[in-house]
Amino acid sequence: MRHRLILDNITHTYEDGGTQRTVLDHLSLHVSEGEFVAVMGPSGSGKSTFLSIAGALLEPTSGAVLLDGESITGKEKKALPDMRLNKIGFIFQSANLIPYLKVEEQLMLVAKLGDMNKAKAKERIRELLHKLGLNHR
Amino acid sequence: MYLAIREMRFAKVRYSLIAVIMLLVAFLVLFVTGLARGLAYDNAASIQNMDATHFMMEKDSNRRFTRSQLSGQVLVQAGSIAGLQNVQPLGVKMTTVTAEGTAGKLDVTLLGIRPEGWLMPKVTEGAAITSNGTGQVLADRKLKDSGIGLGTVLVDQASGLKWTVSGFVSDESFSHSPAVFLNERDWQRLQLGAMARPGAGGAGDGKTYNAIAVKANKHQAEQLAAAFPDTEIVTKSDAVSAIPGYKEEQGSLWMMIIFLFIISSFVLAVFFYVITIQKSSQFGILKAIGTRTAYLVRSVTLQVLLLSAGSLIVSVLLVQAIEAALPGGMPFQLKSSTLAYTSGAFIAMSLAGSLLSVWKVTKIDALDAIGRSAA
Repeated sequence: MRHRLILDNITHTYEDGGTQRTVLDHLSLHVSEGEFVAVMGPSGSGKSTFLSIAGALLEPTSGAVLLDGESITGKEKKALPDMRLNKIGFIFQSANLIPYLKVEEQLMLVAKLGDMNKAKAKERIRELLHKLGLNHR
Repeated sequence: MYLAIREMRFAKVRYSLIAVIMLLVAFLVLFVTGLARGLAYDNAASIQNMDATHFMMEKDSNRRFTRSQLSGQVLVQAGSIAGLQNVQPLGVKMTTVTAEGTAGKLDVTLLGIRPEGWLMPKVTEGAAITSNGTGQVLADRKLKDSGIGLGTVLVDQASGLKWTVSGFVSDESFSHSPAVFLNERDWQRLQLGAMARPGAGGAGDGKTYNAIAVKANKHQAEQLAAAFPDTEIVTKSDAVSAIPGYKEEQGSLWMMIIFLFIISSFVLAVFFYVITIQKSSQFGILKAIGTRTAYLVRSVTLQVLLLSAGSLIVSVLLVQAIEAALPGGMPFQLKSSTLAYTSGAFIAMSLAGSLLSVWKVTKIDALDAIGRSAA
Protein backbone atom coordinates (compact mmCIF):
# COMPACT_ATOMS: atom_id res chain seq x y z
CA MET A 1 0.00 0.00 0.00
CA ARG A 2 1.10 3.55 -0.77
CA HIS A 3 2.25 5.74 2.06
CA ARG A 4 0.79 9.20 1.76
CA LEU A 5 2.48 10.72 4.78
CA ILE A 6 5.97 9.77 5.76
CA LEU A 7 7.79 11.19 8.76
CA ASP A 8 11.36 10.09 8.74
CA ASN A 9 13.57 10.43 11.79
CA ILE A 10 11.99 13.65 13.04
CA THR A 11 13.65 15.56 15.87
CA HIS A 12 12.30 18.81 17.23
CA THR A 13 13.87 20.85 20.02
CA TYR A 14 12.78 24.02 21.74
CA GLU A 15 14.91 26.58 23.49
CA ASP A 16 13.47 26.77 27.00
CA GLY A 17 15.04 29.03 29.57
CA GLY A 18 18.52 28.51 28.21
CA THR A 19 18.27 24.73 28.00
CA GLN A 20 17.54 22.68 24.91
CA ARG A 21 14.39 20.64 25.33
CA THR A 22 13.95 17.83 22.90
CA VAL A 23 10.24 17.22 22.34
CA LEU A 24 10.38 14.78 19.47
CA ASP A 25 13.37 12.47 19.41
CA HIS A 26 14.01 10.59 16.17
CA LEU A 27 10.37 9.89 15.45
CA SER A 28 9.38 7.97 12.34
CA LEU A 29 5.84 7.36 11.10
CA HIS A 30 4.26 6.09 7.91
CA VAL A 31 0.60 6.67 7.21
CA SER A 32 -1.04 4.85 4.31
CA GLU A 33 -4.02 5.84 2.24
CA GLY A 34 -7.26 5.07 4.08
CA GLU A 35 -5.49 4.55 7.36
CA PHE A 36 -6.84 6.21 10.49
CA VAL A 37 -4.28 7.23 13.11
CA ALA A 38 -4.98 8.60 16.57
CA VAL A 39 -2.22 10.12 18.64
CA MET A 40 -2.65 9.89 22.40
CA GLY A 41 -0.51 11.03 25.26
CA PRO A 42 -0.46 13.15 28.43
CA SER A 43 -0.26 16.90 28.30
CA GLY A 44 3.12 18.16 27.25
CA SER A 45 4.17 14.94 25.57
CA GLY A 46 4.55 16.58 22.16
CA LYS A 47 1.25 15.78 20.41
CA SER A 48 0.75 19.31 19.17
CA THR A 49 4.32 19.64 17.98
CA PHE A 50 3.95 16.39 16.13
CA LEU A 51 0.69 17.51 14.51
CA SER A 52 2.10 20.90 13.60
CA ILE A 53 4.95 19.22 11.79
CA ALA A 54 2.74 16.66 10.11
CA GLY A 55 0.36 19.49 9.10
CA ALA A 56 3.15 21.47 7.44
CA LEU A 57 2.75 24.30 9.93
CA LEU A 58 6.12 23.85 11.57
CA GLU A 59 9.48 22.73 10.25
CA PRO A 60 11.26 20.09 12.30
CA THR A 61 14.76 20.73 13.60
CA SER A 62 15.96 17.72 11.69
CA GLY A 63 14.49 14.88 9.70
CA ALA A 64 12.31 14.71 6.61
CA VAL A 65 8.54 15.01 6.12
CA LEU A 66 7.15 13.66 2.86
CA LEU A 67 3.61 14.46 1.85
CA ASP A 68 2.59 12.43 -1.21
CA GLY A 69 6.29 11.94 -1.84
CA GLU A 70 7.00 15.68 -1.65
CA SER A 71 9.25 17.04 1.03
CA ILE A 72 7.93 19.95 3.09
CA THR A 73 11.34 20.90 4.44
CA GLY A 74 13.62 23.21 2.54
CA LYS A 75 10.67 24.54 0.54
CA GLU A 76 10.01 28.13 -0.26
CA LYS A 77 7.85 29.94 2.26
CA LYS A 78 5.20 30.57 -0.32
CA ALA A 79 4.85 26.93 -1.31
CA LEU A 80 3.76 25.72 2.13
CA PRO A 81 0.34 27.43 2.21
CA ASP A 82 -0.40 25.94 -1.20
CA MET A 83 0.48 22.50 0.07
CA ARG A 84 -1.72 22.90 3.12
CA LEU A 85 -4.53 24.17 0.94
CA ASN A 86 -4.46 21.30 -1.51
CA LYS A 87 -3.30 18.30 0.50
CA ILE A 88 -4.37 18.74 4.09
CA GLY A 89 -7.66 19.23 5.87
CA PHE A 90 -7.72 20.69 9.35
CA ILE A 91 -10.20 20.46 12.17
CA PHE A 92 -9.03 22.54 15.09
CA GLN A 93 -9.60 22.09 18.81
CA SER A 94 -12.42 24.60 18.89
CA ALA A 95 -14.39 24.68 15.68
CA ASN A 96 -12.69 27.68 14.17
CA LEU A 97 -14.87 28.93 11.39
CA ILE A 98 -14.80 32.40 9.92
CA PRO A 99 -17.61 34.06 11.85
CA TYR A 100 -18.91 36.28 9.08
CA LEU A 101 -19.31 33.63 6.41
CA LYS A 102 -22.34 31.45 5.76
CA VAL A 103 -22.01 27.69 5.47
CA GLU A 104 -21.83 27.76 1.73
CA GLU A 105 -19.40 30.66 1.77
CA GLN A 106 -17.06 28.87 4.16
CA LEU A 107 -16.73 26.07 1.65
CA MET A 108 -16.61 28.46 -1.26
CA LEU A 109 -13.67 30.30 0.29
CA VAL A 110 -11.46 27.23 0.17
CA ALA A 111 -12.48 26.53 -3.41
CA LYS A 112 -11.69 30.14 -4.31
CA LEU A 113 -8.32 30.00 -2.62
CA GLY A 114 -7.53 26.85 -4.59
CA ASP A 115 -8.58 28.48 -7.87
CA MET A 116 -11.30 25.91 -8.45
CA ASN A 117 -13.75 26.40 -11.28
CA LYS A 118 -16.82 28.14 -9.92
CA ALA A 119 -19.47 25.82 -11.33
CA LYS A 120 -17.50 22.79 -10.22
CA ALA A 121 -17.10 24.26 -6.75
CA LYS A 122 -20.84 24.93 -6.47
CA GLU A 123 -21.57 21.36 -7.46
CA ARG A 124 -19.15 20.00 -4.90
CA ILE A 125 -20.50 22.24 -2.15
CA ARG A 126 -24.04 21.04 -2.80
CA GLU A 127 -22.86 17.47 -2.73
CA LEU A 128 -21.03 17.95 0.56
CA LEU A 129 -23.89 19.73 2.25
CA HIS A 130 -26.28 17.04 1.12
CA LYS A 131 -24.03 14.34 2.47
CA LEU A 132 -23.97 16.02 5.86
CA GLY A 133 -27.68 16.73 5.88
CA LEU A 134 -27.13 20.49 5.92
CA ASN A 135 -29.15 21.22 2.82
CA HIS A 136 -31.56 23.45 4.68
CA ARG A 137 -28.83 25.82 5.86
CA MET B 1 -12.11 40.51 -2.42
CA TYR B 2 -14.34 37.68 -1.30
CA LEU B 3 -13.46 37.96 2.37
CA ALA B 4 -13.15 41.74 2.50
CA ILE B 5 -16.60 42.45 1.13
CA ARG B 6 -18.36 39.73 3.11
CA GLU B 7 -16.78 40.89 6.33
CA MET B 8 -17.85 44.47 5.77
CA ARG B 9 -21.35 43.28 4.98
CA PHE B 10 -21.38 41.28 8.20
CA ALA B 11 -19.98 43.94 10.54
CA LYS B 12 -22.06 46.81 9.22
CA VAL B 13 -22.14 48.92 12.37
CA ARG B 14 -18.41 48.75 12.93
CA TYR B 15 -17.52 49.69 9.40
CA SER B 16 -20.17 52.36 9.03
CA LEU B 17 -18.93 54.07 12.19
CA ILE B 18 -15.45 54.36 10.79
CA ALA B 19 -16.86 55.35 7.41
CA VAL B 20 -18.73 58.24 9.03
CA ILE B 21 -15.56 59.46 10.73
CA MET B 22 -13.68 59.26 7.45
CA LEU B 23 -16.50 61.05 5.70
CA LEU B 24 -16.43 63.92 8.17
CA VAL B 25 -12.66 64.24 7.94
CA ALA B 26 -12.72 64.08 4.14
CA PHE B 27 -15.45 66.70 4.06
CA LEU B 28 -13.45 69.00 6.30
CA VAL B 29 -10.31 68.48 4.20
CA LEU B 30 -12.15 69.39 1.03
CA PHE B 31 -13.97 72.31 2.57
CA VAL B 32 -10.86 73.86 4.12
CA THR B 33 -8.97 73.28 0.87
CA GLY B 34 -11.69 75.06 -1.04
CA LEU B 35 -11.63 77.89 1.45
CA ALA B 36 -7.84 78.16 1.27
CA ARG B 37 -7.90 78.27 -2.50
CA GLY B 38 -10.80 80.69 -2.47
CA LEU B 39 -9.12 83.04 -0.02
CA ALA B 40 -5.88 82.83 -1.97
CA TYR B 41 -7.71 83.81 -5.11
CA ASP B 42 -9.72 86.50 -3.40
CA ASN B 43 -6.58 87.93 -1.89
CA ALA B 44 -4.50 88.16 -5.01
CA ALA B 45 -6.91 87.69 -7.88
CA SER B 46 -5.73 90.72 -9.81
CA ILE B 47 -2.11 89.68 -9.70
CA GLN B 48 -2.93 86.05 -10.46
CA ASN B 49 -5.09 87.03 -13.40
CA MET B 50 -2.21 88.90 -14.95
CA ASP B 51 -0.45 87.24 -17.83
CA ALA B 52 2.98 88.23 -16.55
CA THR B 53 5.70 85.75 -15.65
CA HIS B 54 7.78 88.18 -13.63
CA PHE B 55 7.50 91.55 -11.97
CA MET B 56 10.26 94.10 -11.71
CA MET B 57 10.32 95.91 -8.39
CA GLU B 58 12.59 98.24 -6.56
CA LYS B 59 15.44 96.53 -4.77
CA ASP B 60 14.58 97.34 -1.17
CA SER B 61 10.85 96.92 -1.47
CA ASN B 62 10.78 93.41 0.01
CA ARG B 63 8.88 92.29 -3.07
CA ARG B 64 5.88 94.33 -2.12
CA PHE B 65 4.09 96.16 -4.87
CA THR B 66 2.99 99.01 -2.64
CA ARG B 67 6.52 99.73 -1.39
CA SER B 68 8.27 99.65 -4.70
CA GLN B 69 8.73 102.66 -6.94
CA LEU B 70 10.17 102.62 -10.45
CA SER B 71 10.64 105.44 -12.91
CA GLY B 72 9.41 105.55 -16.47
CA GLN B 73 13.00 105.23 -17.67
CA VAL B 74 13.23 101.71 -16.31
CA LEU B 75 10.16 100.80 -18.31
CA VAL B 76 11.71 102.08 -21.54
CA GLN B 77 15.01 100.29 -20.93
CA ALA B 78 13.33 97.06 -19.85
CA GLY B 79 11.29 97.21 -23.03
CA SER B 80 14.45 97.33 -25.11
CA ILE B 81 15.72 94.14 -23.43
CA ALA B 82 12.61 92.00 -23.16
CA GLY B 83 10.74 93.47 -26.11
CA LEU B 84 8.33 96.40 -25.97
CA GLN B 85 5.35 94.12 -26.18
CA ASN B 86 6.47 92.15 -23.17
CA VAL B 87 6.59 94.89 -20.54
CA GLN B 88 3.68 96.72 -19.01
CA PRO B 89 3.75 99.37 -16.30
CA LEU B 90 1.72 98.69 -13.18
CA GLY B 91 0.73 101.04 -10.40
CA VAL B 92 -0.63 99.69 -7.15
CA LYS B 93 -2.00 101.87 -4.39
CA MET B 94 -4.27 100.97 -1.56
CA THR B 95 -6.54 103.77 -0.61
CA THR B 96 -9.91 104.74 0.78
CA VAL B 97 -12.62 106.22 -1.40
CA THR B 98 -16.11 107.48 -0.85
CA ALA B 99 -18.87 107.38 -3.39
CA GLU B 100 -20.05 110.92 -3.97
CA GLY B 101 -23.29 111.58 -2.23
CA THR B 102 -22.85 108.82 0.36
CA ALA B 103 -21.08 108.86 3.66
CA GLY B 104 -19.66 105.32 3.68
CA LYS B 105 -15.96 104.83 3.07
CA LEU B 106 -14.62 101.96 1.03
CA ASP B 107 -11.17 100.42 0.98
CA VAL B 108 -10.04 99.76 -2.56
CA THR B 109 -6.82 99.11 -4.39
CA LEU B 110 -6.10 101.39 -7.30
CA LEU B 111 -4.36 99.65 -10.16
CA GLY B 112 -2.83 101.86 -12.82
CA ILE B 113 -2.49 100.11 -16.16
CA ARG B 114 -2.34 100.76 -19.90
CA PRO B 115 -5.85 100.04 -21.15
CA GLU B 116 -4.63 98.72 -24.49
CA GLY B 117 -1.94 96.54 -22.86
CA TRP B 118 -2.24 92.94 -21.69
CA LEU B 119 -2.86 93.84 -18.07
CA MET B 120 -6.30 95.15 -18.99
CA PRO B 121 -9.01 92.97 -17.43
CA LYS B 122 -12.11 91.89 -19.27
CA VAL B 123 -14.98 94.30 -18.84
CA THR B 124 -18.14 92.47 -17.87
CA GLU B 125 -20.49 95.43 -17.73
CA GLY B 126 -20.41 99.01 -19.01
CA ALA B 127 -17.71 100.54 -21.15
CA ALA B 128 -13.95 99.96 -21.06
CA ILE B 129 -11.52 102.75 -20.22
CA THR B 130 -9.17 104.16 -22.84
CA SER B 131 -5.73 105.74 -22.68
CA ASN B 132 -6.95 109.12 -23.82
CA GLY B 133 -9.75 109.93 -21.49
CA THR B 134 -9.39 110.96 -17.89
CA GLY B 135 -11.49 110.38 -14.86
CA GLN B 136 -12.92 107.05 -16.00
CA VAL B 137 -12.30 103.88 -14.00
CA LEU B 138 -13.28 100.23 -13.97
CA ALA B 139 -14.41 98.81 -10.64
CA ASP B 140 -14.65 95.30 -9.31
CA ARG B 141 -18.14 93.86 -9.23
CA LYS B 142 -18.00 93.41 -5.47
CA LEU B 143 -18.29 97.18 -5.10
CA LYS B 144 -21.82 96.89 -6.46
CA ASP B 145 -22.86 95.49 -3.09
CA SER B 146 -21.70 98.74 -1.53
CA GLY B 147 -24.04 100.76 -3.70
CA ILE B 148 -21.66 101.63 -6.52
CA GLY B 149 -23.21 101.60 -9.97
CA LEU B 150 -22.30 102.73 -13.46
CA GLY B 151 -21.67 106.46 -13.40
CA THR B 152 -21.06 106.66 -9.67
CA VAL B 153 -18.34 109.16 -8.83
CA LEU B 154 -15.61 107.93 -6.48
CA VAL B 155 -13.64 110.45 -4.46
CA ASP B 156 -10.16 109.50 -3.28
CA GLN B 157 -9.76 110.45 0.35
CA ALA B 158 -6.03 111.17 0.17
CA SER B 159 -5.77 113.19 -3.02
CA GLY B 160 -9.31 114.41 -3.52
CA LEU B 161 -9.30 113.20 -7.11
CA LYS B 162 -12.62 112.13 -8.58
CA TRP B 163 -13.30 109.26 -10.96
CA THR B 164 -16.45 108.04 -12.63
CA VAL B 165 -17.13 104.34 -12.77
CA SER B 166 -17.53 103.54 -16.44
CA GLY B 167 -17.60 99.77 -16.21
CA PHE B 168 -17.28 96.72 -14.04
CA VAL B 169 -14.86 93.82 -14.03
CA SER B 170 -15.26 90.58 -12.10
CA ASP B 171 -12.91 88.75 -9.73
CA GLU B 172 -10.39 91.52 -9.41
CA SER B 173 -8.95 92.18 -5.97
CA PHE B 174 -5.69 92.85 -4.20
CA SER B 175 -5.06 92.02 -0.55
CA HIS B 176 -8.81 91.30 -0.12
CA SER B 177 -9.81 94.78 -1.22
CA PRO B 178 -11.69 95.23 -4.48
CA ALA B 179 -9.65 96.63 -7.35
CA VAL B 180 -10.29 99.83 -9.25
CA PHE B 181 -8.49 100.19 -12.60
CA LEU B 182 -7.28 103.58 -13.87
CA ASN B 183 -5.47 104.45 -17.05
CA GLU B 184 -1.90 105.77 -17.05
CA ARG B 185 -2.89 109.39 -17.24
CA ASP B 186 -5.07 109.23 -14.15
CA TRP B 187 -2.41 107.22 -12.42
CA GLN B 188 0.24 109.88 -13.04
CA ARG B 189 -2.09 112.60 -11.83
CA LEU B 190 -2.52 110.64 -8.63
CA GLN B 191 1.25 110.29 -8.31
CA LEU B 192 2.00 113.95 -8.88
CA GLY B 193 0.52 114.97 -5.60
CA ALA B 194 2.30 112.29 -3.66
CA MET B 195 5.72 112.16 -5.32
CA ALA B 196 8.42 113.36 -3.02
CA ARG B 197 11.38 111.46 -4.39
CA PRO B 198 12.34 109.95 -7.71
CA GLY B 199 11.96 106.20 -8.00
CA ALA B 200 14.75 103.79 -8.74
CA GLY B 201 16.34 104.43 -12.11
CA GLY B 202 16.43 108.21 -11.96
CA ALA B 203 13.79 110.88 -12.39
CA GLY B 204 13.43 110.35 -16.14
CA ASP B 205 10.27 111.76 -17.60
CA GLY B 206 8.70 112.14 -14.22
CA LYS B 207 6.48 109.09 -14.52
CA THR B 208 6.55 106.58 -11.73
CA TYR B 209 5.12 103.13 -11.35
CA ASN B 210 5.16 100.53 -8.62
CA ALA B 211 6.22 97.63 -10.72
CA ILE B 212 6.70 96.50 -14.27
CA ALA B 213 4.94 93.35 -15.38
CA VAL B 214 7.15 91.33 -17.68
CA LYS B 215 6.58 88.37 -19.94
CA ALA B 216 10.01 86.86 -20.11
CA ASN B 217 11.77 83.54 -20.22
CA LYS B 218 14.45 82.68 -17.70
CA HIS B 219 17.24 84.00 -19.84
CA GLN B 220 15.58 87.36 -20.38
CA ALA B 221 14.81 87.61 -16.68
CA GLU B 222 18.48 87.16 -15.91
CA GLN B 223 19.39 89.79 -18.46
CA LEU B 224 16.95 92.21 -16.88
CA ALA B 225 18.33 91.52 -13.45
CA ALA B 226 21.84 92.23 -14.69
CA ALA B 227 20.83 95.41 -16.50
CA PHE B 228 19.05 96.96 -13.52
CA PRO B 229 21.05 96.61 -10.33
CA ASP B 230 18.52 98.76 -8.46
CA THR B 231 15.64 96.46 -9.22
CA GLU B 232 14.65 92.97 -8.38
CA ILE B 233 13.04 90.51 -10.76
CA VAL B 234 10.37 88.66 -8.84
CA THR B 235 8.44 85.69 -10.19
CA LYS B 236 4.68 85.96 -10.16
CA SER B 237 4.21 83.39 -7.40
CA ASP B 238 6.79 85.13 -5.19
CA ALA B 239 5.08 88.44 -5.78
CA VAL B 240 1.74 86.91 -4.83
CA SER B 241 3.04 85.44 -1.60
CA ALA B 242 4.60 88.78 -0.68
CA ILE B 243 1.18 90.45 -0.66
CA PRO B 244 0.50 91.47 2.95
CA GLY B 245 -1.29 88.70 4.83
CA TYR B 246 -1.17 86.19 1.99
CA LYS B 247 1.47 83.88 3.41
CA GLU B 248 0.08 84.03 6.95
CA GLU B 249 -3.46 83.28 5.83
CA GLN B 250 -2.43 80.41 3.58
CA GLY B 251 0.03 79.08 6.13
CA SER B 252 -2.55 78.55 8.86
CA LEU B 253 -5.07 77.00 6.49
CA TRP B 254 -2.47 74.65 5.06
CA MET B 255 -1.44 73.60 8.52
CA MET B 256 -5.05 72.61 9.18
CA ILE B 257 -5.24 70.66 5.95
CA ILE B 258 -2.00 68.80 6.57
CA PHE B 259 -3.06 67.94 10.11
CA LEU B 260 -6.40 66.65 8.85
CA PHE B 261 -4.56 64.37 6.45
CA ILE B 262 -2.37 63.05 9.23
CA ILE B 263 -5.36 62.60 11.53
CA SER B 264 -7.33 60.67 8.94
CA SER B 265 -4.38 58.43 8.32
CA PHE B 266 -3.97 57.74 12.04
CA VAL B 267 -7.67 57.17 12.67
CA LEU B 268 -7.68 54.52 9.97
CA ALA B 269 -4.41 53.06 11.20
CA VAL B 270 -5.70 52.65 14.76
CA PHE B 271 -9.06 51.26 13.68
CA PHE B 272 -7.60 48.64 11.40
CA TYR B 273 -4.80 47.78 13.80
CA VAL B 274 -7.27 47.06 16.61
CA ILE B 275 -9.50 45.02 14.29
CA THR B 276 -6.51 43.10 12.98
CA ILE B 277 -5.33 42.26 16.47
CA GLN B 278 -8.83 41.14 17.36
CA LYS B 279 -8.90 38.91 14.31
CA SER B 280 -5.39 37.55 14.60
CA SER B 281 -6.54 34.03 15.50
CA GLN B 282 -8.89 34.12 12.54
CA PHE B 283 -6.05 35.14 10.27
CA GLY B 284 -4.07 32.27 11.82
CA ILE B 285 -6.74 29.75 10.82
CA LEU B 286 -6.94 31.16 7.34
CA LYS B 287 -3.21 30.83 7.03
CA ALA B 288 -3.31 27.27 8.43
CA ILE B 289 -5.85 26.12 5.87
CA GLY B 290 -3.60 27.49 3.18
CA THR B 291 -4.40 31.14 2.55
CA ARG B 292 -1.46 33.06 1.23
CA THR B 293 -0.37 36.12 3.19
CA ALA B 294 -0.66 38.23 0.04
CA TYR B 295 -4.36 37.36 -0.17
CA LEU B 296 -4.97 38.58 3.39
CA VAL B 297 -2.93 41.72 2.82
CA ARG B 298 -4.96 42.47 -0.29
CA SER B 299 -8.12 41.91 1.70
CA VAL B 300 -7.16 44.45 4.39
CA THR B 301 -5.95 46.98 1.82
CA LEU B 302 -9.14 46.64 -0.17
CA GLN B 303 -11.22 47.35 2.90
CA VAL B 304 -9.22 50.51 3.59
CA LEU B 305 -9.54 51.54 -0.03
CA LEU B 306 -13.29 50.93 -0.11
CA LEU B 307 -13.82 52.89 3.09
CA SER B 308 -11.74 55.89 2.09
CA ALA B 309 -12.97 55.99 -1.50
CA GLY B 310 -16.59 55.62 -0.40
CA SER B 311 -16.34 58.37 2.20
CA LEU B 312 -14.51 60.55 -0.28
CA ILE B 313 -17.19 60.22 -2.95
CA VAL B 314 -19.95 61.12 -0.50
CA SER B 315 -17.99 64.07 0.85
CA VAL B 316 -17.22 65.38 -2.65
CA LEU B 317 -20.94 65.36 -3.35
CA LEU B 318 -21.60 67.08 -0.02
CA VAL B 319 -18.98 69.76 -0.67
CA GLN B 320 -20.39 70.43 -4.10
CA ALA B 321 -23.87 70.76 -2.65
CA ILE B 322 -22.55 73.17 -0.03
CA GLU B 323 -20.65 75.12 -2.67
CA ALA B 324 -23.81 75.59 -4.65
CA ALA B 325 -25.63 76.74 -1.51
CA LEU B 326 -22.94 79.20 -0.41
CA PRO B 327 -23.54 82.89 -1.05
CA GLY B 328 -21.59 84.24 -4.02
CA GLY B 329 -19.44 86.56 -1.94
CA MET B 330 -17.98 83.66 0.04
CA PRO B 331 -14.40 83.03 -1.05
CA PHE B 332 -14.63 79.37 -1.93
CA GLN B 333 -12.93 77.81 -4.91
CA LEU B 334 -12.47 74.13 -5.58
CA LYS B 335 -11.35 73.42 -9.12
CA SER B 336 -11.52 69.88 -10.39
CA SER B 337 -7.73 69.67 -10.51
CA THR B 338 -7.45 70.68 -6.85
CA LEU B 339 -10.21 68.21 -6.06
CA ALA B 340 -8.34 65.44 -7.84
CA TYR B 341 -5.06 66.21 -6.05
CA THR B 342 -6.74 66.37 -2.67
CA SER B 343 -8.64 63.13 -3.22
CA GLY B 344 -5.49 61.40 -4.38
CA ALA B 345 -3.60 62.58 -1.33
CA PHE B 346 -6.45 61.48 0.93
CA ILE B 347 -6.46 57.96 -0.47
CA ALA B 348 -2.68 57.78 -0.34
CA MET B 349 -2.71 58.81 3.31
CA SER B 350 -5.36 56.18 4.08
CA LEU B 351 -3.26 53.50 2.47
CA ALA B 352 -0.28 54.69 4.48
CA GLY B 353 -2.45 54.25 7.56
CA SER B 354 -3.16 50.64 6.63
CA LEU B 355 0.54 49.75 6.52
CA LEU B 356 0.65 49.00 10.24
CA SER B 357 -2.13 46.42 9.92
CA VAL B 358 -0.57 44.90 6.84
CA TRP B 359 2.66 44.48 8.72
CA LYS B 360 0.77 42.86 11.58
CA VAL B 361 -0.99 40.46 9.22
CA THR B 362 2.28 39.29 7.74
CA LYS B 363 3.59 38.61 11.24
CA ILE B 364 0.71 36.34 12.29
CA ASP B 365 1.78 32.72 12.52
CA ALA B 366 -0.40 29.88 11.34
CA LEU B 367 0.39 28.13 14.63
CA ASP B 368 -1.84 30.69 16.38
CA ALA B 369 -4.74 28.69 15.03
CA ILE B 370 -4.04 25.78 17.30
CA GLY B 371 -3.74 27.95 20.35
CA ARG B 372 0.02 28.34 20.22
CA SER B 373 0.33 25.49 22.69
CA ALA B 374 2.92 23.87 20.48
CA ALA B 375 5.32 26.77 20.47
